Amino acid sequence: MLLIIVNGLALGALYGMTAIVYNMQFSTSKVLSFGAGQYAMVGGVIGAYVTLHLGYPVWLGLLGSLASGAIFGWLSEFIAIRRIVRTSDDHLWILSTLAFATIVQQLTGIWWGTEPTPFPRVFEQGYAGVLDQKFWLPILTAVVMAGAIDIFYRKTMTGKVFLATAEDGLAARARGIGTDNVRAFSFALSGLIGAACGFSAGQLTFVNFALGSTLGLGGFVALAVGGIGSNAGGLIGGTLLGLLISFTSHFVGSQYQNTVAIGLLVLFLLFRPQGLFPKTFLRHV
Amino acid sequence: MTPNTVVKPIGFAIATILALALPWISPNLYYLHIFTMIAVYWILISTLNLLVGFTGQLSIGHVGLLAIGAYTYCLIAPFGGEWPYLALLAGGFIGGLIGLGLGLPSLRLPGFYFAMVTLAFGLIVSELALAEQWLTNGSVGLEAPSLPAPFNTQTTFHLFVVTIAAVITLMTWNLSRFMWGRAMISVRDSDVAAMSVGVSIFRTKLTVFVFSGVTAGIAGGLYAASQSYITPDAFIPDLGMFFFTAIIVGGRGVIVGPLIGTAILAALPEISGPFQRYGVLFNGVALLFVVLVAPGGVSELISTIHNRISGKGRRPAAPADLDVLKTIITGATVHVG
Amino acid sequence: MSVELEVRDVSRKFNNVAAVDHVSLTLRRGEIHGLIGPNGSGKTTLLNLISGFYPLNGGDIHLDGAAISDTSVRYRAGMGISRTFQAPKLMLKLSTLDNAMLGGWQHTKAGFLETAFGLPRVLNEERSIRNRALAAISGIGLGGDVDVKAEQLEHSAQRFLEIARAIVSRPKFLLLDEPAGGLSVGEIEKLSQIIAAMRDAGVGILLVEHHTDFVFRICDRVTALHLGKVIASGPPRKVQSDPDLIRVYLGA
Repeated sequence: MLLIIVNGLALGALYGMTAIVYNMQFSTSKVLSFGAGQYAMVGGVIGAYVTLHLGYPVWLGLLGSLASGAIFGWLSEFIAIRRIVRTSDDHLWILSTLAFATIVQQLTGIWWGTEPTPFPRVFEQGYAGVLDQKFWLPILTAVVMAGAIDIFYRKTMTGKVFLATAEDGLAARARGIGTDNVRAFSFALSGLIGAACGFSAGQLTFVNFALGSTLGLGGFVALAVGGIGSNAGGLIGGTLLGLLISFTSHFVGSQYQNTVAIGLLVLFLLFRPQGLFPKTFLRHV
Repeated sequence: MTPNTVVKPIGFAIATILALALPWISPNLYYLHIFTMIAVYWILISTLNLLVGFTGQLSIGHVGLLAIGAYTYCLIAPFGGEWPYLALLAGGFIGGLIGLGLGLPSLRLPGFYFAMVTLAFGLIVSELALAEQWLTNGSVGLEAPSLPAPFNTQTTFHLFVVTIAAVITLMTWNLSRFMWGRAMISVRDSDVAAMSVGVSIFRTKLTVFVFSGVTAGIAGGLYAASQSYITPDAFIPDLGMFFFTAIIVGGRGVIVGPLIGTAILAALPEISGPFQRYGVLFNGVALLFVVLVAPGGVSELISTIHNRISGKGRRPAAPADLDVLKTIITGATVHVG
Repeated sequence: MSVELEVRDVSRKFNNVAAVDHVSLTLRRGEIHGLIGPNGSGKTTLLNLISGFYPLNGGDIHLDGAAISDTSVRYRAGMGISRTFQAPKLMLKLSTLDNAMLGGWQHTKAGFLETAFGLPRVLNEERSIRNRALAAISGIGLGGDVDVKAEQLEHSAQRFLEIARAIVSRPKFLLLDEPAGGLSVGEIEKLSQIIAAMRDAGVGILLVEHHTDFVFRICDRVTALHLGKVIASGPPRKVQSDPDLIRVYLGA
């Protein structure tokens, strides 16, 4: 029973972190990207590649993983967003991010293979049941991430520039903020968060080229449940979803993951479309 | 009378005859099978095109409707005896019902939300196909009866499929060129303008969803009939991605473009042998390329070039003819009916 | 009974701020009614209330004596209330002709399947709407651009195309939202001729405008709004010299 709960919390942390990726990208670009889950996939694959294939120590694997996430984050802004946000067509960014996500996933599948592979132990520890690192690592990462982002927004100049751009892009530009650069930076940062998520998830989910689309959907459900713009809401939404999936997997069957996720999403869209913690500055036009 | 009203029907007739004559043009059975599959996919894509390209509803989960049609066919056909066509129609009926259900969220949700919901719908269908063993036989799959004589050979089955595809293409073409086409595009481009001229967004979206669901269900039945066996992994999300990409790459708001897009995207990985595993990657690259370089799709690229060559330009605005305007409003000389 | 569109004591709040505050006015067929006021005075909101895009918070709207306050935009369009938009809302990838023809939607009866099979009624309706749209386009002075995509039209031509689309719907009442915005002096002259012609054909017109001199020149009746309230109403000459209005416009 405890194992089911811990497993759910760990899964929920992954969804929550993906919701944070969505949020960070949305705040500066007003774009919800289909690629939001792919950074975790890339981060996991690179982490496993550096440690298991190249034989380097785990901390180098983490560095490589974070760097690859940041690079892919920046790339996705440069390729799929930058030119699109200048046009007024609402639908185009849906298409461009969908295309980018597909390309990243397929390239990884071709290079790495489509079979899930194991991820190295991050800390030396025998299997410890509910206290195993494969459970607490994602949870800890999510909590640390959320805290760090909060401090980043409130205490650093860059963070404040982010917030200014998020609240009113035009006004920010009028004050001399390079909104293109802010957006690129926020995507790189979100990619880094995604990679951290993927690295911490490696032992739980295995290294899997399809992880990106699973997290993309689960993270989106977490986001919609928590309310767009709220990282805390995303974490809570993710936890809710993670627990639900963990419980149904155990008691009903693991085949119903997407059904559960989408059931939760539909419930919220019907009865509380603004999510649990709606942000006021996101008034619809 | 613009040349279009002559060129298009002739082009349609030639394309149909060519497609029907394929078994004799290309006796290679493998290629014939690919062409039959393209026609089956087109039955789904041609009406999905009304949804994506005309009405602007980005559904990437139509593979779920294909699966539902296929399973319905396999489950019902054995009871139909000599009339498995009823099973095809049943697939269309259930597809239409589910299509209606899929259309409901589009009334409320913004584009990305809706795209995500349709993606999830596709995933759920294959998930349930795997899980509900009592109905679908799980990962083992179901036996798919082929159509009875005279459509039991590869050639006659091809003729059957192409005929249905041609009829549905004709229907979508009519829908696109008359008032319904304008209504659909008004919903896509400006729902506010649509409402202000009296177009019902509710009715337009849901009608197109039902139509698309019906043909997707029929396409699913034909898909099953063309295989001997169907399993859940035949209906992966990548297939839905392919349907969607074919439309965007071909061009939104036209019919020929997506048809060519379907043929190219479906045939290329098959014909190019060693590149088969790059099929989905190729979809992604084609989609990204079109979105970045030619958001209107290949067909708009062509028509822009065509206009530039033929020098179709604008003429300066003329003064208003007030008497004409008055007669329109009062309805005095404009004959109705 | 005269055909009129009566707005009675209508209110609308956004976030507890009254955008339109107990406003009444009456549109009569064959009359041009000007609606003026500074930015944010509630002109466009009032227009959106009349065409049905926002629900009312108070008051009601009557068409020929029947309450239409709770009806949809589509219903009101069907009853002959047509409108244009501040920023033209066109189908940019479609031709001028297709855009104008859309205005005829509510005069067609052919259903989905009927259209799919191209039955005779579809062809007849198509022909009659096409003729009407062609006439409207050339009547409004865009005859040379029939086959041109709307996105290639100049801004002013897009404005006129919206009016053509409204004319094809043969409205009883037409609500124009700042139709003179971005138009040259010559084009404004053409616009006022067109508006006058529509009035002569029996259309009741609500003209929301910034250009007050243009409004005072062509309107039969003018209502001035300020902060959501009516501050002056009546014939142009009377409103023009209204002390409240002058104070609002001079910012005193």
